[in-house]
Amino acid sequence: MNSLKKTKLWKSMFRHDFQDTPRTRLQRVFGNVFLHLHPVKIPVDALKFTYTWGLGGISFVLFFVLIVTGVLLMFYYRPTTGLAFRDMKDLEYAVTLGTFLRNMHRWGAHAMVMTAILHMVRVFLTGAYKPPREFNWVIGVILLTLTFLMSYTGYLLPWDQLALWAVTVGANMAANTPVLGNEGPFSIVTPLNDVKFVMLGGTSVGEAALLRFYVMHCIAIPFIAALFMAVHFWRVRKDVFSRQTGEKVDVWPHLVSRELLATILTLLVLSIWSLAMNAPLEEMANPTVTPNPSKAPWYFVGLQELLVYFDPWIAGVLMPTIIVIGLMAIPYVDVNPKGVGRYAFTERKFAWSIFLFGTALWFALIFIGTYCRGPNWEWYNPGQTWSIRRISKLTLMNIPNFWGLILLGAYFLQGMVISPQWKQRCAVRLGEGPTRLACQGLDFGLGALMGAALMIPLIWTPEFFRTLGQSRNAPLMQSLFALRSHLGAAGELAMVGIVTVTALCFGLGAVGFGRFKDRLWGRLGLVKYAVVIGLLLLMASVPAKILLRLLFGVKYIVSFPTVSFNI
Amino acid sequence: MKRQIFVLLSLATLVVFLMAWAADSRKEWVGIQERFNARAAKPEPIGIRQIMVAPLNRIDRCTTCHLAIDRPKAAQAEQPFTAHPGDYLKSHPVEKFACTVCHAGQGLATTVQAGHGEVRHWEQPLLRGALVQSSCAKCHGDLETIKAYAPMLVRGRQLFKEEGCIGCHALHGFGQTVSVDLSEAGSKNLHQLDMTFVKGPHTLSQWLYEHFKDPQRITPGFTRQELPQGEMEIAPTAMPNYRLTDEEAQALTIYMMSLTDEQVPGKYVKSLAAPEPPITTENAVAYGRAVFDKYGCVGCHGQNGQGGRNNWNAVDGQQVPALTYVKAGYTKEALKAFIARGSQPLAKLDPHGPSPSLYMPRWQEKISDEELNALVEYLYRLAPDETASAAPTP
Amino acid sequence: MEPWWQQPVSRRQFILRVGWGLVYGSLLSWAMATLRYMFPNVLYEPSAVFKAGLPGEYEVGTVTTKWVREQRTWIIRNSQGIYALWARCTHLGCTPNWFDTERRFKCPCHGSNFNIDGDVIAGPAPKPLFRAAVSLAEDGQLQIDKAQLENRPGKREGGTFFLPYKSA
Repeated sequence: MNSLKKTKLWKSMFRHDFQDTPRTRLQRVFGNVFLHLHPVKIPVDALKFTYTWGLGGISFVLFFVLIVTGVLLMFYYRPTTGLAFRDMKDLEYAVTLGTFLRNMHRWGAHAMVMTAILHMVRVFLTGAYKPPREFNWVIGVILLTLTFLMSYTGYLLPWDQLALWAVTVGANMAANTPVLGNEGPFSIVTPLNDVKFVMLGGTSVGEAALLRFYVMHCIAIPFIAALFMAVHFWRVRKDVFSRQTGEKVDVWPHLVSRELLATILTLLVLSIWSLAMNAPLEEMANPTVTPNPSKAPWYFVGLQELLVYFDPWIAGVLMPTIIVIGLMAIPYVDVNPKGVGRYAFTERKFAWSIFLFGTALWFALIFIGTYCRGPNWEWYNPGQTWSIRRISKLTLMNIPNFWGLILLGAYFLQGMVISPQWKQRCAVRLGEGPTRLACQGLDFGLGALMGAALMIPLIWTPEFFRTLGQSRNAPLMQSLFALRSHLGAAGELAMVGIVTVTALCFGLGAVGFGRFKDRLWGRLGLVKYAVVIGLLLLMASVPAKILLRLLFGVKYIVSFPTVSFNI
Repeated sequence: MKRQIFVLLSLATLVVFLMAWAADSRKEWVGIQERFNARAAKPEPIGIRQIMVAPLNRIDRCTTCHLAIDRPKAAQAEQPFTAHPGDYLKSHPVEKFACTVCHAGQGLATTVQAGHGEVRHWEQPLLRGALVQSSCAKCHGDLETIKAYAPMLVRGRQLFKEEGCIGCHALHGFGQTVSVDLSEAGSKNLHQLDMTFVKGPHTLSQWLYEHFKDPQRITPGFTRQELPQGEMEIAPTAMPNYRLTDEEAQALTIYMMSLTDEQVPGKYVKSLAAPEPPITTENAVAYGRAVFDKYGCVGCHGQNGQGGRNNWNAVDGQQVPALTYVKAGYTKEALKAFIARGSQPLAKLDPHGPSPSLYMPRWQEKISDEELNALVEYLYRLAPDETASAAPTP
Repeated sequence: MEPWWQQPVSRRQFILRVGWGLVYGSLLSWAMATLRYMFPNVLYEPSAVFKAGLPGEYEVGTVTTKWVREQRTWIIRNSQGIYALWARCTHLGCTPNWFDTERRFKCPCHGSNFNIDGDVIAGPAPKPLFRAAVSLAEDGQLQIDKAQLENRPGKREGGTFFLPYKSA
């Protein structure tokens, strides 16, 4: 061994010896192409597992596992509609370790989506995106999107019913893209030249789509993702790790050994998972029969559930786009310098609350879609037995456009703020007190208008009130209807009372919200304020619309079917 | 401490992987082949066997376990090592037909359950017992030629004719549109069937069987009690209950299962379906009787036009009217016109209930004038004797 | 200095070495499994074994060419019995044709000529045509196995490569 180490061959490969000296500890890191993305020294607090939870690294390990297992699977897989499904059966029944390998690939993909999401949550909560790391957060969001795309394109490849219909739903969302999708609002294209056509290489999911998804899944997206990963890691190194407390220690062995342990742990968990559970494979894809229910992969079930409440172009195109862009914007609109390098809720109450609310909303939608939706996408409580003989008679109606436009306008005008300069100008003429009162009055008026524009059409559109009042899926409309019928002559008066109280509540709420807006404006300035309040109102509109649907049976607030514009 | 964790994790990873590998190399079929070798004079090499038949689009691995299927000497061995019973393989060599083209099941699978196709997400389970006869029709279009081998299939087709199914259902372009076209009834997708009331395994053949035995139990519709206040009830299926024996229901099931969408290449086709023999009799009434049978009138109007089939919410006592006294109600011309035109929708008994599902379909384009004339003659003869003596037919 | 395996090892070092040994053990077993994975368990090639009907269907002294298109095999019956020639020229792998008038197989690619025994009688081919194993299956049919080939005179006329057969 020692004589081997003296040969020229050995020395040409390994530039340094392996005795544990401070010098070799450094050499091991910067003398190694794989390890040199690390710094040579790192603060001891940054090593704490409970800080990073190893999530970024685990995502990368999973990506690596996916490449290895994916390349192996490619040896037995042919992406044609006649052979793909048969090859899946071969992997399951006739290839040594084929099932295990496919399980590793499938569960690894699910795990990677999960760890990537959790990694992003971790980075947010520890403020690790704050200057100078804003841009790396943007790259991280791109990587998260690419992870979704990799997983989604791979979902089609088994060519079973699960695959076909998940991708069909996704592709039809693309057809609803505004302007460029043939079913979207203000469409300028036909089914033969819109985005869905390009995506599928045809009008429906078939031979061409399978090949396209295969190429995207196996080559194009992983290649792009690998490039972005390189940039991502390099920026981590260049921008310096976010936690810089504690004495500095050598990366070799302290960090490297932890990474090794995390890698082995990941492999272990994935192996056990793959041994215990088989990846699903349903009937062969059949374009003439849709399974009931058909569900998207879990990470897109939230979007699918959203599609129940919104027009496809909003839920399928606008929302995802805004979510991605909104996530990217976070480091540029968050001006609070505090809370970097630790979990500090008290220093970033607003940021934490908004972000965790959004994340919880996303997972709540996933939960509903996964566990609460049965045949015909009808509501079933978790554990309840599905039956296609159940009678639900879903009844939904649109709010008249006149009121709908007022409601929508009043809702988004809640974001408006009267700038301090204007207030000052007014104060000069009117005095402090009256100005403040006028501003609060304006807020109150807008809020009250919103409340009124919500309740008036619900109650005083006779057809709407009667139909939904007698339906089975709009509990609040049912109670209002029952109340009015029960009270007889006084019923009308009660309705007026209810509308008034609602308007008052909304008005008072708006006054409170006004104070919050003023503070936000003061901290952020015009542009950042506009971005933040816009995202905030859009996000809040999701549960608001869901409640309108579930409690009042409202289908659309504003509907112009001729141009496919429905909200 | 970290070093110990390192050792433990590495050990666990190695062990889990070796377990996966071991499990993978000890698949069910390996044990079965070893069992076969233990008693065989000449051991077979361990490995998956498959029969590829490209023209039929079949890759069947059944012989991985059914190792002696083409060795007549193994006729007495127990499953799965027995030889194929009978001399079917002489005329249907496995190299040319494989297995699943007749027996169904999942040819690519190599576990017992999955191979027999008796698992979720496989739509063609093994055709057990007499059900396998349904596959014969893929190549043997003329069933009379295989009567000795597929008695139940032939019986099923005979019943299909006798019971007048064609009066409501269409089959390969012949028949009516009152109910579904049965040309591919044996290839129905499970997602299209309501299995809620099926007692046996949730397969197509079981659904068909139980539906033949008691159609209204399998497709009961919705009563008012099950529906929200004020909703119109949904009628149960209009398919009459023919009081079939178990054997008859099975024969019909087998016949239905034989109506698949699978197309075999021309060189596999042994015979084409024989055309219906022309009606030869000269006697107008007997001719009319044959027309009555040919067009499946019996399916709804009963043997000799005596009625008795239920028709939900129809006037006339919720039944298809008997034809015994048509003579009293219609002139011959009116009767011909009525048959040619049909009658849809029928008058409802309860005006707020659903429309009767059975109705008199239009025959104008399906029946020749000659046949129609003869049919009316026959129908006029259905009236009992005393009226017959009052107005003798020419 | 002592050789490395005789040098004293501390407890910590020992544990570390065991750990690394297990890691390399995992990597090695994964590599071996991958290698095994690359050997398919089923082949989508036509079976090397096929059944060629009853031996009585073949006439003495004729070369039967009806199996060439599907199975690339001639079946030949002589006065003693039956053998099967693999229709692949031993020169560069073309399929020769049988010319009954000349009683020869002639290869269209480079003009090799073989006689009815498969021996080269003209042209560039270096060795005789191969014979495939012939046996009788349980159902009485001829069974040809192209996985077993033989072309050495002396060996090819016996054993599994020649089926003695005389019609009753």
